[in-house]
Amino acid sequence: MNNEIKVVITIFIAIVVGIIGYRFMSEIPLFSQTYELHATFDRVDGLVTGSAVLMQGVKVGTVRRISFTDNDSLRVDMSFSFGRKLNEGSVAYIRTVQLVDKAIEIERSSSSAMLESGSGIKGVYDDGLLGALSELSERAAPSVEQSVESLSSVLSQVDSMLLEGGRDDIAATLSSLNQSVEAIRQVLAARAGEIDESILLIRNTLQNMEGITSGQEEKIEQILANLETSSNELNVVVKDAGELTRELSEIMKKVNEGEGSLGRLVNDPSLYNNLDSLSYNLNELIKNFNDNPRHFLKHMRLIDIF
Amino acid sequence: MQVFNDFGRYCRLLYQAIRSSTELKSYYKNFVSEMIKTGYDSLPIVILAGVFTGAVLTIQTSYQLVSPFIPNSTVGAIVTQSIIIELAAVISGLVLAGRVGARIATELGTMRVSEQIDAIESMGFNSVSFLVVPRVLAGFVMFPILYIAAATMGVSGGLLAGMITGQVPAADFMQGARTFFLPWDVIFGMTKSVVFGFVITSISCYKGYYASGGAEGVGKATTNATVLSCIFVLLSDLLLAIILL
Amino acid sequence: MIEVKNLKKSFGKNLVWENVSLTIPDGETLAIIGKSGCGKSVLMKHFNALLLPDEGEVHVDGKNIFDLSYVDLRILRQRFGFLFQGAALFDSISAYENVAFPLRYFTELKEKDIHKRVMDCLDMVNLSGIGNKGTSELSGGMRKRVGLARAIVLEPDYLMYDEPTSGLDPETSDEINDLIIHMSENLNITSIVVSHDMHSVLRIADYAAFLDEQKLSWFGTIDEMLVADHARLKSFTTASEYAISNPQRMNVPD
Repeated sequence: MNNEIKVVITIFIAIVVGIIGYRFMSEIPLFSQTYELHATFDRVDGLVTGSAVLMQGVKVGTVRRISFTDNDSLRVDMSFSFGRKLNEGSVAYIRTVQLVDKAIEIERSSSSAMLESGSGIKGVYDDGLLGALSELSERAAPSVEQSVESLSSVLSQVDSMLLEGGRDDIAATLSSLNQSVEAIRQVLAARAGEIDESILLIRNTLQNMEGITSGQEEKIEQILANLETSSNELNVVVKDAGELTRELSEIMKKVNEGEGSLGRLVNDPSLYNNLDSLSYNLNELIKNFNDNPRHFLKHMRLIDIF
Repeated sequence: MQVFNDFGRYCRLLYQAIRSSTELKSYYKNFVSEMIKTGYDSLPIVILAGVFTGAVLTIQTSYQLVSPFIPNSTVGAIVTQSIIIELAAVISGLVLAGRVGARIATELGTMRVSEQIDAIESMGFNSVSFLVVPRVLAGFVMFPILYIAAATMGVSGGLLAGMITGQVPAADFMQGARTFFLPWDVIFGMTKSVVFGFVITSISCYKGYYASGGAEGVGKATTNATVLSCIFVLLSDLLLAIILL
Repeated sequence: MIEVKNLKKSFGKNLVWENVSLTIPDGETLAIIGKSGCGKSVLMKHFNALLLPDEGEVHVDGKNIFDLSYVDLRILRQRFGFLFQGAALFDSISAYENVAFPLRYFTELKEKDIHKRVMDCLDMVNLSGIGNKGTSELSGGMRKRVGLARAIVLEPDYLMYDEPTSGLDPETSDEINDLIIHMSENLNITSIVVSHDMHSVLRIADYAAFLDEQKLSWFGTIDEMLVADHARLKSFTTASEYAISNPQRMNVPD
């Protein structure tokens, strides 16, 4: 055989083998026309050239190329090797497979129209449960942050309020209260005997009452019925109280925000002065109680009437 | 000093070769026969080296990667990429440094000491364009061809070895091979083979063309050509890896 | 006409010879004689610039060949035929192709004319029958004759022979000598012969150049050489007793 022909045949066969090998490795169909589609995504994360394109979990193609488009989104070119065309309206999802790998998953639509090679389909970046969670927290994060910020500002206001003289007043009030409690304790200790006596009297009274009631069950029943009515009324009252509480809470909110007269009152140091004088008067009262308990106990006798 | 002297003469020879590379008429015949000797005749050894490299690589890689967490396809990916990027070019380069390099150095060395180069010159030929240019050009053209042969045969050998020993099923092997297959790797491997073709043929031509001292001188030139070719194949491999990766 | 002026050559630090000046008239034959290793072949390779001197000039037809461009030099070299010591046949091609080789590249001859010319040249060296034999199948004498055929195939003006008879039996040597004489007389070729075989030199040469002690020790015609008053030349030429006892017989062609 002629040398020239040998060389030409060698080179020709090598080039053909090279091209076939290349197409085979790149998963481009060896002899048929390639079927290529592209989709646009905002982000692709782990997707790379050569990543799998899946359909119903079966590999049907590979990612050929990832490139930036003019408006900064990403165009992903895919080539398919499964020998069929896709329906119009199919969607390409970027999903995580096997924990870390990213792949494109095609979801076919039911449209009967088929896509020609080279056309584009819709691309969706779908990062699954974990992604959804993180997205949610991402969205919630600003409002949480805002709340924390306002709370912190309220606290700082309270703090500054306390710092502006209020602290001393509260301290004084507390110490006065402390004194009053101490005084009450002393009184109680000193008058223990008398109190015992009173309790004894109460016990006698109760015994008398038992004697009285034993003969008057009907009356008591009636009283109970009355009581029931009263409690019904009380229920209404409680409801009202609930309403009141709500209103109160609203008011408190406003107070908190420094609105209205009460709000201003809170900020007014005179309140503490009044409280102070109140506790002083209480002190006086207890002193009087100590000096002349009978005067007060006389009033207590009123209980005996029951 | 000797090194610089050698390098200077080498560069001068290359310069002469480039200047006389236009005289296609005078070396066309030699070019064809050199392509036969360098390319066509080297195909068997290169194919053999490729098949065995791929087979051994597959068996040893699957032996090294004994782990339930590593899928079988990893073996295919490692073997294919190693062959395409590195081994197809370097193994065939080293084999051809022996085969082609030694042949060129011996041919030219013998022609030098038997005064055939003088005879060519005295007839009015340009001995560089007649002898050196076709050999170096044949290296340029045929080494990428041999690279394709080595690469395809290497991957096929790996695939076969995995199938026959049952360590790596063919489907797994191909899946891994395809997933990590990059066009750039092929270009890189090809570039390497072109550079190796140039390095081996030009060094061997230099050593043979300037051989002196009879049969012993030819032997020395051949040994030097082979050793230097191997060294510069490895050196240029490293350089290319640094520059191109 | 070849004129050599003040040529000096050294390899590295080793001086080969210096002060070499001589003239070869057209159609004459010069023999370069001297001991082995004195640089005879080296001197001859300067005549077509296969080697470059350290100093000096070589004029061929009035032009210094060392001043020529490579292209012009190659054209000049085609006017030189060179028979190398080992014939230097290309061993990758047949004997026939060796002779046809210069014709294929330097002439526009058709295959038929090439064949005719090659056959003529092979006839001239009495080798018409060897046809397509490979060069390795040829004997030493045949190789030299093929080499001579190749040297004359382009019809050169100058022919250079490097040790044409060395390593050959006396009969083949005589055949080669006859060929050389035939060339210079019939084709009017200027010849240069390197030899240390006085038997050959006395038969074929008109002039002799004796290289000794790293210089051109003696230069003149053969007749002058035989009577020259030069001790070292005398001892060199008389080493061959037969030549000196029969000078006249040796000088006559048959």
